[in-house]
Amino acid sequence: MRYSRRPMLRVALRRMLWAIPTLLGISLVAFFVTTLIPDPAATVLPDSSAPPGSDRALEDVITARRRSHFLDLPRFVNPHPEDVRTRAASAVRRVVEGAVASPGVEDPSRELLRLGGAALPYVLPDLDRLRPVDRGKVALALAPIAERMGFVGLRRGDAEESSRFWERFWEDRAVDFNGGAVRRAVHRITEDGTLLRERDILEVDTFALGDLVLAISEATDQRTLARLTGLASHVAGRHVVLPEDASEAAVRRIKGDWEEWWFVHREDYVALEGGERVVARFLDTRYGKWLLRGARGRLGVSSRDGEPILDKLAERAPITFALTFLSLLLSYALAIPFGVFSAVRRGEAVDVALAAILFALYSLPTFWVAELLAHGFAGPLAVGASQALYTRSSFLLAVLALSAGSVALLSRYERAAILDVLRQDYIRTARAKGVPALRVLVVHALRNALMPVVTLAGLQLPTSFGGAFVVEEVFRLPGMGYETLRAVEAHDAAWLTTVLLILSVVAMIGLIVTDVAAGALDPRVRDVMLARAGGTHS
Amino acid sequence: MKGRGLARLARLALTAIVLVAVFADFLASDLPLACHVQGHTYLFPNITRPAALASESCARLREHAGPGDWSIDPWVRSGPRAGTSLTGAPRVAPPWTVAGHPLGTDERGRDVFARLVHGARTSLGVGLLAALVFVGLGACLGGLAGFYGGVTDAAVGRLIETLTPFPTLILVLVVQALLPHPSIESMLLAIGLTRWTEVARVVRAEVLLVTSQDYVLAARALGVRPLRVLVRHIAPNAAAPVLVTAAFGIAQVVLIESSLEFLRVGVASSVSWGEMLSEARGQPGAYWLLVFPGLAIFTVVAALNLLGEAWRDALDPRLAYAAQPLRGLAPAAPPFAD
Repeated sequence: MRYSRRPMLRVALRRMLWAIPTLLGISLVAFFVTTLIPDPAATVLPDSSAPPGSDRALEDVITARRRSHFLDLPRFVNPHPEDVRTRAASAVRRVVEGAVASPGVEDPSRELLRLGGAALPYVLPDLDRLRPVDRGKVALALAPIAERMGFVGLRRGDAEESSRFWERFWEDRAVDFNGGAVRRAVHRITEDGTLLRERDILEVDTFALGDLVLAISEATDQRTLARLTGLASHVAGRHVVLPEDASEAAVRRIKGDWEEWWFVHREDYVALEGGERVVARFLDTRYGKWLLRGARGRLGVSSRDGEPILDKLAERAPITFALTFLSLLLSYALAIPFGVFSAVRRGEAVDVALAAILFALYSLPTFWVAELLAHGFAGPLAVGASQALYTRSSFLLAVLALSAGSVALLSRYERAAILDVLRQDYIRTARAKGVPALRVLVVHALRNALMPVVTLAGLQLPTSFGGAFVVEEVFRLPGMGYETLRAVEAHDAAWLTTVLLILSVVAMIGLIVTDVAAGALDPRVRDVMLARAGGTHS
Repeated sequence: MKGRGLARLARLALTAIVLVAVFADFLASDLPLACHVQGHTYLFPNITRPAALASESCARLREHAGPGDWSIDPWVRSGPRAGTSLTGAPRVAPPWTVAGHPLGTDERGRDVFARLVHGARTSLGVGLLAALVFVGLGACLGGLAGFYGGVTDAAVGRLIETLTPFPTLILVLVVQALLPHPSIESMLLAIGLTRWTEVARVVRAEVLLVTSQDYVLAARALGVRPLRVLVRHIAPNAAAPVLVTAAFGIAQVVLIESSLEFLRVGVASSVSWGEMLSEARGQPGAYWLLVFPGLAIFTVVAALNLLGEAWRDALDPRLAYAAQPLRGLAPAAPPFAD
């Protein structure tokens, strides 16, 4: 046996380190579940026989929804991550070829307009390398950007004039397309907003979006926020502007909206350099984006009632967790005495009767026990009412119903463990020394017999969560389970995947805690854990 | 709880329920077992469902029987889906009050006995088929992990670690909710793909144990190929604990399936005990709607648990010690026996 300093610390650290691949695995499973959600392009589109482009508004909605779920990206590895440079280059090429919109591919001049000013540093310098005819086509496609920038007087459809305009534009203003300059301009707007400053931003168009969104999320006073959101909306072609006298919640919602939009569309406006390009191969994927968004705490809004998932969780989760942990506590409080008692009275009528009752409890479905309790005790009280009536008595009955199965299981384990320990020599020694029987049982035997049962707590947790969902439904407790069942009816994917992810992560933490607790209770387990890779469950 | 008697009782109960599930159409159906109508003879129309009798039922056939027509009815002349065909019967009838409905009817006038009998199909079918998936997967992965060790073992270990914290009920619920067309098959697959970890754990431990035995060493020394060693020498010894785990696993699946149906996220078209209990909530006074399906679930689950314990004691006494922490294994099954 190897002795080491601070073995408990090492066990705990080791166990936590091994949780990292498990967490990754859990996220992969949850991600897989999200891929089951049907693609909006396959479900929303009424009939695919209509020529592409005939219903542009609907197509835009579908494209936006697909993008917000990152369905336009590959799942795990993106060999060619797109940024503003590649998008602009391909759009220019398609303009030159005279391509029009086809299913799944945007009309190239529309795409150029969307990319806007951010694409200019990659389009304009190469403009004179094109043939004059092609140069005219591209310049024409770019003309609406100039309009958005506020340059009036450009004659529509005149290719030559457009070419000349963009040539001059780039000669005059190339210096403005510079990160530092734009950042300073946005900063000046937040400090002292004047019309002149706004023109600085408008003339670089979407090139300033990154700094604008950053300023939006940092802005504190409403006037600035209204101005910034107005600018960003104009440039990005959206209509998310802070109204006058907006409430606290509206401010938060609009800030969140812009941050979320930027998170989804960042690659349309930013060029990836060197290292970023390598990282983007893995992060600019459906899984990478989904994971990053979750890690940033942006869980989205419920499609059922538009409430942010985070707020809902804060409201619902305490009930579910209180229910499960109280029931686990109650189970242990009952199961250990039951187990010890039936081990001491082994084979007697009491033991057999207790075993029969517990076995029956173990084989009964949780919802049936809950239903019976509801009818038996709370029938006239709360259950059966159409509204969510949430009283203390129904909560206690729910805890009781949830505990039934686990009491049965745990007490049988405790009984087996005590019987195992009572056979040991050191118990006989203690008895021979004249230690009172009760002291032998409680001090000598119980301590060692607790181990196997404590380890079970972590494994019991996922089952308890499942049971809690059922019990909440029966007793109409407004917890996560109750909410989830409503979400099932509404196909609220954001809430469903969040619940799945959170409960499994909590259960995983429970497993780690019980493993470490087992190590603390028993040095032998500690040694096994240190000698082996991974947790005790592998 | 030990005793041959109990195990025999469990086996008997389980056999009976399997038979009921298989011959559900003979016990309760809206069409006769055989009949002769208007010159045509139909054999087992309750199973073949001929189009000519689509709108018929046992009672109607009797009423409108012409000369020479005859029919042999099943024991209960109601199907699981159709409402009562007896005129004048109350909507929610208690058991043994209306002739022809031995266990009463529910709020839509459907026969409780017929629904119980047909529900056995759903419960046992889902249980057994899901067991097929998770036992097969668990045995393969656990066997490979134990036999090859190293990277394979580590990979399977990570996979088990990953799936262990997922609450099966909630995972299946979410999957069923997100799928555009949830079906019995998707439910089966979701349950099977998440519940194999226990089998894999047991098989891996067993394979590790058996691999170190002398006879396996001897087989290897004789030059037997590794795959053959695995199939011929190791697998038979690992089979017993798999059987035990499968029995407990099926019990759990039956509970999960009924919970899902109870929560109304199962498959709407199927007749199942969980769904019956869910509907019983609307009729607080009608005890028979609550008691009979509950008893049915209890019987199946308890019988499977008892059987699992009996098998464990008979086939492999070592498994009883799986709860010992030093084996580093989560206990395979609840030790309800000594």
